[in-house]
Amino acid sequence: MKARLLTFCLVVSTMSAVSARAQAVIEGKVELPKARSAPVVSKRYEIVSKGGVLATDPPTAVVYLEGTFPKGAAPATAKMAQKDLNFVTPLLPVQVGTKVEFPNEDDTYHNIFSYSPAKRFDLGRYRPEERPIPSQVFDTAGMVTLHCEIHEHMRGIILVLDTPHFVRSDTEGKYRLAGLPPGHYTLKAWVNSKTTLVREVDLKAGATLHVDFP
Amino acid sequence: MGMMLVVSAITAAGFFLSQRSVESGAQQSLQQRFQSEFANLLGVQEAHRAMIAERCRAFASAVRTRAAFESTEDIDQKLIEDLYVSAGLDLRDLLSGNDDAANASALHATFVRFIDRHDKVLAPPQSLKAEPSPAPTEKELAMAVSAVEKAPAFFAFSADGGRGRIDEIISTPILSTEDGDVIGTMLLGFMPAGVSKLFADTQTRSGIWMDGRLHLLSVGVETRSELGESIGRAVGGAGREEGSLTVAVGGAPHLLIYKLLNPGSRFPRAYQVSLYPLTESLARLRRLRWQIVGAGVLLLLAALIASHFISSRLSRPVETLEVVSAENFAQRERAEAALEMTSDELRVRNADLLAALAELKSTQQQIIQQERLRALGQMASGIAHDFNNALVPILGFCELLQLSPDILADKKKSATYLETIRIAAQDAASVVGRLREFYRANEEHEKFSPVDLSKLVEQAINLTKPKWKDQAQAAGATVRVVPELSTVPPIAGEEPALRELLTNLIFNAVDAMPDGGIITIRTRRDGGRVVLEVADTGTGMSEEVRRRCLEPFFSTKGERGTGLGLSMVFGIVQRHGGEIDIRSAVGKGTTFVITFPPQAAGEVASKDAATPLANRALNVLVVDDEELVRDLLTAALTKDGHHVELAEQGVDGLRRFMAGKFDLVVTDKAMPGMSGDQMATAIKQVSPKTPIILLTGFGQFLDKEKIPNVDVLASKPIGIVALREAITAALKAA
Repeated sequence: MKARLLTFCLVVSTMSAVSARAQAVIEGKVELPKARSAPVVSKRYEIVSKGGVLATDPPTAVVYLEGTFPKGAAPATAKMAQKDLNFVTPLLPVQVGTKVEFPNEDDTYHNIFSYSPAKRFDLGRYRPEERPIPSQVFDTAGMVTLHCEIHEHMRGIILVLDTPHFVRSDTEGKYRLAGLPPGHYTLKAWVNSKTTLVREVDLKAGATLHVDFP
Repeated sequence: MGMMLVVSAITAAGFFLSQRSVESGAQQSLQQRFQSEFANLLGVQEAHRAMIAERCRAFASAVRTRAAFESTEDIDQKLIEDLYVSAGLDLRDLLSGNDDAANASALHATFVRFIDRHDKVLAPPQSLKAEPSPAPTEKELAMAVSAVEKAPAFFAFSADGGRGRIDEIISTPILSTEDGDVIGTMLLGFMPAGVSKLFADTQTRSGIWMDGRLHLLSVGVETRSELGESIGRAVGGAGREEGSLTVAVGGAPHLLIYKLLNPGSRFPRAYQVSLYPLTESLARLRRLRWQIVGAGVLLLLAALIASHFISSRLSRPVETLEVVSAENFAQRERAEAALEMTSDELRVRNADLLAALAELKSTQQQIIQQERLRALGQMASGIAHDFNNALVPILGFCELLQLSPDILADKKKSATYLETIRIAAQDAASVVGRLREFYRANEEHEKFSPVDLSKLVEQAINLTKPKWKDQAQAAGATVRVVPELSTVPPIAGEEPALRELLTNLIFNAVDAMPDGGIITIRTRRDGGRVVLEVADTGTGMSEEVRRRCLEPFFSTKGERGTGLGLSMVFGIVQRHGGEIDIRSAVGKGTTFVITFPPQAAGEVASKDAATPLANRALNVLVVDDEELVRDLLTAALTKDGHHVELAEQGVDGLRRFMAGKFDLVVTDKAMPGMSGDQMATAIKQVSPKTPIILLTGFGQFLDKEKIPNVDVLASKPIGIVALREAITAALKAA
């Protein structure tokens, strides 16, 4: 438990630079859908599978606060690697304007592309030693679904958010957002491409608000 | 002459009937030939359809197709264009060269369309000219979309002038990579193989009937509509799935066979129709009929002539009959003489045969003996196996006691361990005992006494603890044994054998669970019968293994297994008149269900009832060359209040016997110098009344009758209780 709290603090502190002046905190739990095990369809490639089922990461949610926030520094570069023929991690929340790198950490080619309206791109085939590491800047908010043309089972999501305040829940759905400015905001929990839950929240300085979804 | 007329009439009738049956047989075989041709046609179509469906599936499941449909609910024009372009490239061989529909090969598709998740048709871009003509109209497509399904679907187009064209449509769902939901559909229209020229030959014509209309290429418009109507009548409102009828096409009779192509489809019913001409075959039939009639008449004529000829010849032999009979008499005389000779010969043969039979019997005996020896060999290795099993707890617990002095200090615990060791040792002894039983297979081996199975299960679990707990743990697996015991009536059985059965089953269960698991041992009552169940959660057995697992030397454990454990189990169950049932599922585990018959009312305990101890103190002479045995016997006898004197070998024992006065002699058999039985003979000469107990490791193989000077023959290893019994028996016998 202690270790988990510690990780939370670490995540939060790296995420937002204003943690020193902790103002308001929201914590709670998002109810997650059951892990879906997709049967391995393509046998053309050696796929990391367990009993014929893809070893996918368990589902997690992304909780974020919407509202108008003062422009901060340019967001840091994020990373979405391909490892063991999977995206690591398959769900990546980033702030609008973030540059995401797609390093290939497998011994084979990958070809990452997206048809999503928020960001349409096609990186083409590249090998692990490709330099500079293929990257994209995500400047429109929305969900971007990533596919690999070569490995049909690979699927990743980049959630481009117009806010600096967001966090990915743990696999039990627990989350904690710290260092939030007081005021009236909309708190959203993204569960999957079809479900985003919404709550109106009033944040008071120094107070901790408990919000469970749904 | 009247007779002849009757005969010819009957023959003529016979010919007529056979001609009829030949005719109907020919008709039937023709029908059958057409039916099988029709089935072939359907088969080819099926393969053709499957090939196209597979191409569609490959395209629909391509990652870019799925990604495009997944990108957003309203797919934008650029992506739609990409989709159609790549479909055109991917299915190029199906879609191109289709300008002339009449000459198109059967493989050619007529159109491709994508439908989004809201059932909206995504119109192909204007720039794309690959689209074959005529394209389906919006209305037709809308109908196709509303009936989208997985089964082969037929759909009619009348766009092609007045002739009417029919398209077969394959719809393929496009699935989301996120959750597998249907997010789109791909429709591919193609010319059904049934109407194409691919299968057209000069004889048969094929087409498709749908909605009262027949689509068949090489038939005139009028005939086509006529045929369409008669098919409509044959199919009926309810829609028969298949059948055949005879129709006239252009004045010639034809066989028409039809079969429903899309049962259960939401599209209109479509039938494959084939026309087979009967003209030629009818002509052939007529020819056949005339041939048969002609042949019949000729045959009849020939028969008439022949019969006349024969009857004229028949009268002559009667005259010569008398002469022949005299000759016959002489022949008979000769034959009788010959017969007598033959009977003598027969007697000799019989004797030969009897001798051969005797020889055969002795050979058979030899073979049986050989077989028994072979089985003994098998048995011996089985015994080694069981003996080793019995040694496991002995070694295990002994080492435990040696290594952990604190257990030794714990009186209660060490007592339990020692009891377990004792039971195991006893079992080991009885395993060896079985050799003898085997050797005299039908002798009094059924020393059955009442056995409480539940108690036995507890013992067996303790006995096998080193295996399922310590060894399994050492191998990194956790095995739990869960007894679910109920009070069951005692069964008639041999306790060590049943314990061995349980031991074997538990060992087997542990070996079947390399990653650990639970062994459940259940006893329950089933009517009057007692059921024992041993269930594991291990790897389970395949059907083949399950069937064979009781066979001797069948093992799945490779080097580690002898293949004897379960065959022993089977043998024990059989000896107890029980039944064994094995239920197993690969990956789930195995359950052995063993049912024992109830103990018959008369079979009540007899053995334990009477073991009165020799309660007077005796002077005992113990002769044995092994110090350990001497020590054990001394300890046991002194504890019972007897006085013991020891000798190390026969001569020494005899000397001591002469010098002292003893009530009892206990001696080993095999000793250096004078053996135990020789010594016994000497003692009996001096003092015939002194009882002598001969202890021997070969006890089980010896007949007491062959050692007359011994009162009791006891086999080693001997326990305290057995020793007491032997003493009582010896005192009684002397």
